[in-house]
Amino acid sequence: MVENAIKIEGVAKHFDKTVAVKELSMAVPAGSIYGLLGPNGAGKTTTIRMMLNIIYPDQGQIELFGRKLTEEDKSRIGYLPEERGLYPKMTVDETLLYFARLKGIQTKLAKKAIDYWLDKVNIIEHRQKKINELSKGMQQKIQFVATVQHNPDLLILDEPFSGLDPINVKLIKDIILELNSDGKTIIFSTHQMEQVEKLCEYICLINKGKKIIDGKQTKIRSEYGRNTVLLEFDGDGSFLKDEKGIADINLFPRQAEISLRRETSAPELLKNWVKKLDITKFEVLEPSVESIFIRLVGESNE
Amino acid sequence: MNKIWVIIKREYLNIVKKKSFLVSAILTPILMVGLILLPSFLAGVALIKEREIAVIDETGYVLPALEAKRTMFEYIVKEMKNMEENQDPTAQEQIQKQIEKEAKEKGLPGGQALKLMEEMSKKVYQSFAAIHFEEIKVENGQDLKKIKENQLDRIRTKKIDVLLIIPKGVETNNDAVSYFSTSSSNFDETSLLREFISETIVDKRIADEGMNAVKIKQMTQPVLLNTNDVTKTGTKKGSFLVTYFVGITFVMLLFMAVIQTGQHLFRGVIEEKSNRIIEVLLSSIKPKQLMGGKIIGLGGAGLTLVAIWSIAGLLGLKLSGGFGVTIAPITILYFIIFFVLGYLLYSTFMAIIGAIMNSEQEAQQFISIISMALMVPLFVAMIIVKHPDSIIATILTMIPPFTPSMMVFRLSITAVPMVEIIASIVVLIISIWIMIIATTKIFRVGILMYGKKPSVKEIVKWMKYK
Repeated sequence: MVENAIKIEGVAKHFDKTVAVKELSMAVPAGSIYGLLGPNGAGKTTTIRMMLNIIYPDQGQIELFGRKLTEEDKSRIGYLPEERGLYPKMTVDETLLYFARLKGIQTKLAKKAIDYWLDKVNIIEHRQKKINELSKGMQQKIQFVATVQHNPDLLILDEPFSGLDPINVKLIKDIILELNSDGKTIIFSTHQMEQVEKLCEYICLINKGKKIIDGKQTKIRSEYGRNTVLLEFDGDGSFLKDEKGIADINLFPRQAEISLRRETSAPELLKNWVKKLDITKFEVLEPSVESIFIRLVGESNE
Repeated sequence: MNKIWVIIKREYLNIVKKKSFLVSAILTPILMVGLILLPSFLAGVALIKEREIAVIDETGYVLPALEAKRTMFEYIVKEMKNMEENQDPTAQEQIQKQIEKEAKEKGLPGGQALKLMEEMSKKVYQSFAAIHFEEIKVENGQDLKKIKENQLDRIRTKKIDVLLIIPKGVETNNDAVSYFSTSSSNFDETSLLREFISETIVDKRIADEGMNAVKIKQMTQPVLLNTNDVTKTGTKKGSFLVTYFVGITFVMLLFMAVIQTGQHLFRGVIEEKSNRIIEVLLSSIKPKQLMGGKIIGLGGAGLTLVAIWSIAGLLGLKLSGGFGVTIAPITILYFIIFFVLGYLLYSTFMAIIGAIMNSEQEAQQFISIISMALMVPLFVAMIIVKHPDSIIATILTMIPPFTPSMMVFRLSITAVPMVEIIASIVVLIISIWIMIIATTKIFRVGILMYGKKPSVKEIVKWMKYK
């Protein structure tokens, strides 16, 4: 068993004058769920494409399963792109069989797998329909099946939940967890932070082609932690934005998530706020991934 | 290797299963055959009109000669009808003999009636047989001008169709015969009249000199020249028009196959690019496999289409009696070689276009350039038919984009030296090899470029990527 499913070292890629990725190093432990996070245009998709050998890095090394990606190893990967990548005029069955065959699966075995997966994602009655006759959510599920049907060891999922209703989000999430408990490595690129928080053991945050932070989610959160306040209240909370002891605030009409400066004392602030607001909840906790994301990306942009 | 087959199969079936493929496979030959047969069909059903021709014959002997011809034509038409109704071959033979015999009796040299039948279409016969000649006599002292005016009025009031004036001086002074009609462009009629009148006049002149007109006609019979092409195994009857059209047909087949399937090639690439199928594909296979599979699969579809057309065409030729077209098996073999090589070369162009362009509209203009290159032999066809082994032909053949269609064209009209055939195959294989290397590189970078059209400089840079 190789320790890391993916190991990236000092990778850089530029297109003409725009630098997509610069000096990126990261390691995805085998059997983990790994969140690759970053704002739009951070270089996530370019990184994923380099992992898959679709484009070559200008410099640096990428290893999958402990070696340079070989053609045979491609069948051990399942890739779900951010946008739909299906032939609109092909039927569900034809599409899935084609993609399975391209992964080197024999027709007979592929058909069995397709039966199993179509049943699992509740789409079996639509198998004769053409892709363009299906709803966006159903297309997304087909794309997901195309990603997992050949039983890959490594799943790379770019926004897997887009276009899905909550029921289907749960369905796909459960499948992902199931696959992970079978020992599959899953790389997750998404902007949905709640999903990242719930699913990912590891996270890596990149911005402008550079890594900002990576590691175990619990460790990162505790590092930035215990200086975050969750506040629920009645009244006008707009003054909170101008408070001096605050590093960052995520303000909603009846709720606020506040990151405090290191030197600020939370109880002091509370004393102050009780006078101005009807406070229903005050909790000091670890920061959410979302707040870490907003804060770090904001800092790195400065 | 296995994966490339998966792609070939999908690309092939994707086209062949399309309704448009079926339509074009079946409808194109039907349309082509229809276009070839339509004129003769229309001519066959054209109405034979009875014509009233008033003749002022100052010579006194031309009109009776014309009338004699007409009766003979009438007779032939009648016998021909008989022949058609009597499908029994012995009966036909008898009737033919009878035609010959009776034609002889009517003062025609033996066999001329039959020869006439071969030379002229049925329609010409029927229309000449349907003429009714009316003699307008000019008595001494009558004003010719006035009579002429009267007859012209009759034409205007549609009482008669034509006025023919044969002047006395036609024999001695070569005076012109005049033909008046509302439409003097009745080509069949005027040319027949001219031919028969001159024949009569010439016969009269010869007879006046005390010679035998029939004998002289036999003596002055022009010599026939049969052109023959020497082929590898023997000889074949050559006909300029036939070789020309065989050549053009082969080039057109190549052209249609390349354009039809080539369009699918760049359209497919643009489609895969625009909805990111390409990323899923490339996470499973190499760009080389994808491109190779597409080119081979679509080429197979193109070859299928051409095979269907060719079989339909050969059947059609056989059924219609061949039009004197003979195609040597070796020509067909060469055609297949040059079709395959030509297709490969052009599909690399198509794949590059697909990889670089973002929409079909953008790609279309480049397709027209490619079409032009394929059509070059047609532009210079007349020169090449006359001098198929000229320097120009040889030079054009050795320029890769023109090689396939030039070679196909020249092979079907002449015996191209073996050296040139081999040289052109080598030239093609080398350029295909170079193009495939370039295409794979451009393909690999270009297919992942969205939204912006790259400059030539960028494309050159892509080719330098490792």
